[in-house]
Amino acid sequence: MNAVAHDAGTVLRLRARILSRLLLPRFTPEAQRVAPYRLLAMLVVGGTLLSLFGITLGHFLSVAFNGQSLRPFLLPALVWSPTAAAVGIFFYAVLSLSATFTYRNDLSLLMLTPISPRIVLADKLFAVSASFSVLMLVVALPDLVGAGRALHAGMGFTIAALVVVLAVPLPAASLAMLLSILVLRWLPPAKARAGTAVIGTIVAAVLSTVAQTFGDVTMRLLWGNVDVVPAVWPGHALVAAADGQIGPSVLYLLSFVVLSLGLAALAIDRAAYLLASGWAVYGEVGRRSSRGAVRMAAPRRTEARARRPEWWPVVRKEWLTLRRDPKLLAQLAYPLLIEGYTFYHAFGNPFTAHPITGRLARFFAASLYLSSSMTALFLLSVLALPIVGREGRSLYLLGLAPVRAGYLLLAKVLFCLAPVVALLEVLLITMAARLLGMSVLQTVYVSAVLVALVTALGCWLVCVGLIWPRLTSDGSRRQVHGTALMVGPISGGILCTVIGFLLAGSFADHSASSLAPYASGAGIFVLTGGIVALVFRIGPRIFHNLLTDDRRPV
Amino acid sequence: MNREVTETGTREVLAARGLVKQYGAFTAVDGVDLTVHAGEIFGLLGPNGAGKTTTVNMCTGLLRPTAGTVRIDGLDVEREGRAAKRLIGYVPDEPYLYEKLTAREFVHFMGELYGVRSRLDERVEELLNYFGLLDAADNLIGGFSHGMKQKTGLCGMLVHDPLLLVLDEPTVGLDPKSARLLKNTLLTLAARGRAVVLCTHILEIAEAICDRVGILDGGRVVAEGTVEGLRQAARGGSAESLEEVFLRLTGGDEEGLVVEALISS
Ligand SMILES: Nc1ncnc2c1ncn2[C@@H]1O[C@H](COP(=O)(O)OP(=O)(O)O)[C@@H](O)[C@H]1O
Ligand SMILES: [Mg+2]
Repeated sequence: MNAVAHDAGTVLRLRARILSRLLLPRFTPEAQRVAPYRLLAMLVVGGTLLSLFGITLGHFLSVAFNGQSLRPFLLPALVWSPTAAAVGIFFYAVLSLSATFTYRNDLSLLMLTPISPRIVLADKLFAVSASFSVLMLVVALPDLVGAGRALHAGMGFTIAALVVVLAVPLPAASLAMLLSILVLRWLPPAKARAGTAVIGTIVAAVLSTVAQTFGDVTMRLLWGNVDVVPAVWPGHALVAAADGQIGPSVLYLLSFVVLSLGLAALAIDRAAYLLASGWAVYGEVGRRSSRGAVRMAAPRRTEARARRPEWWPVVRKEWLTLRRDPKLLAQLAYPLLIEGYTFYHAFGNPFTAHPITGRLARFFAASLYLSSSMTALFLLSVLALPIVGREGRSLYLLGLAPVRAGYLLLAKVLFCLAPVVALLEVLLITMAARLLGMSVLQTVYVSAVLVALVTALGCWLVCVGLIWPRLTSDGSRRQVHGTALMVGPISGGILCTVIGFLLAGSFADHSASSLAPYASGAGIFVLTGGIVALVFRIGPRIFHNLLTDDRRPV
Repeated sequence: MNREVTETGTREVLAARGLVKQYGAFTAVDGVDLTVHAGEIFGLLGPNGAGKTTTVNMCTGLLRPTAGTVRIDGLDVEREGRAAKRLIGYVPDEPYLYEKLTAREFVHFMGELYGVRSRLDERVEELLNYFGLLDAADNLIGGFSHGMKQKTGLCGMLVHDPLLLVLDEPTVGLDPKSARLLKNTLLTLAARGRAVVLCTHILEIAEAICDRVGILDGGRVVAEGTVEGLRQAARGGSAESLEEVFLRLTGGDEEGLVVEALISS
């Protein structure tokens, strides 16, 4: 027992040091002194902002539904949303843990020390789980608080929400650990990361289907009784807390926490066993990759071909590269999966018969816009942000090419935009026409707005990635600077919000007989057009400089 | 190599004037003038860190000079970049290529990028065959050895039949057979009126195939001329041995080896 405590202490000290490096980057005495205050200030300001967001959201929801018909929508959402979150966490934890077992070689170092492998692995598991808990605290807790306010739930609900947010990542990460260890066992190291990503996606999809189907079924069958499917326990705990039933809520929560800890223990034990017995591999992903022949594109015409646009070869190259990057493909597939399910659940069975009207229609239109624009933002963050940085050390090839920087930029932008636009349009038009019974003219207008938004967003994100690329990254590590990862999605989110308001404004009551709706609609195209123009005004210059200045690694 | 360049010897394919490159306070290249004519193989020699790579990066338009100009066949690399770049092929010392493309796709991509329209597919096959890459043509470049990557890079850079071919340390990583093949290729290209610039610190190669060499040290050209001319200049000079002349020029032991190799033949 003593030895365990000692090992745990060592690992914890290591973890604390890593964390302090992360949070308190400068090691000057002055910075050391103010660091705790800075941290406290960050917590206070962040906490205030988040609670304000939650309260505002609750208020908006109450207003949108006039305080009445809210429960039938929110309660089912409360049941399945923790499950959906867990599935998402599971997927990203697979990526993160397979990296832990392969690329980040500190694991092999730690395993060589006399520290117990179980402690090392427990540290890895809890570190991953905790990072998702932090994310959930920021992203999910305010939404839950908002929902609670809209449902007029008490303090008990907030506490239950806090526990759920902190606990949900652990079983997901444990399952991810089990899966990645098993997958790594069977895959050659060079393919490990890509392979785990693909298998992770498949398993996540299956889990999500099962969990959501069960979530639905059990909810109908066992409403009010004890549900036997653990995946929806956190959801039931929330619902019970929202209803003021503290007893059942505590019971669900406790069972879930106990189950989570058991799963974590199992994952740690199995992983330690597999690693110690040499069953699984870690830390030996080399540069080796497949030597097997790759399917070639069909032989092409041999006669002189028609003059193709200058950007064409680059687009083709991007496509060839993308389709051989399973990790990226998996990342792209995932939001679509979630999106599909969200739509299915939110707009599924009850509403397809007759279009929704009135206030409710507005609420659905808003959430339709919200989820389409967020999907676009996510897809483009994965696709567009790193598309210049992905060139890495091969960037000199584009620098040598007799192609204007503007066309290179255009190639990158077109490659990112085409699939996202196509996808969202299909989704949006189907939903808008079918669900909200929008007229043809309205549908055309909204899809034009979406095209404008996606175009501006894509141009902007490519440009952000162009300003802060990380060309020295090898293989699958991050290809843009942290600054771009911050600036890109945040500014993109702001753009989506602004366009959303303008879109809502352009649907305002026409009875007021003012020009405001038209101005609002025009504003959308002026704004997005301005962004595109700006990007193509400054982008080529930046690209050219990137190709010819000292930042390009030689 | 279907385009014959007839006018050789007088046509200035590469004309670099007063090239300077500063990295902050450090001057990596300090006023370099280079002239390479059609039909010529020019060797840029020098110890590690002499500024060879920096110089050729500026000549190929990959690096903006702090001062100075580069003209390729009369075209200014900075102001008429596109037209000038069409004439250049450059294989850097570390041939980073697209790892997720196959060799054939890569060479084809380079051809398209350079706007080669006639007989592109045949040219790709010819080049791959010539460099012995046909068997590996459908494998991903990511799995290639350094030498194979270099040969693939060469194919990609020859597909548009450049007037000026620049090679940075090309023989590192090549097996003897491939090195011989490369030398023959360069000689053939020169015989057909193309110009070749070869950066190296290995003297046998420079001696065997270069018409002229320039010796770079500390960012300056310390000697330039034909291999024979340099040798004679050194002999005809003072009582100093050639080795001492070169050591004085470059101030390094590595160049001592350079000199020995030059004398002994
Ligand atoms: N991007 C850069 N930033 C700062 N210094 C550089 C950079 N690139 C090259 N140098 C320096 O310039 C000098 C010349 O380098 P290089 O041209 O690569 O030499 P060579 O190719 O002759 O070995 C070296 O001292 C090198 O350290
Ligand atoms: Mg060099």
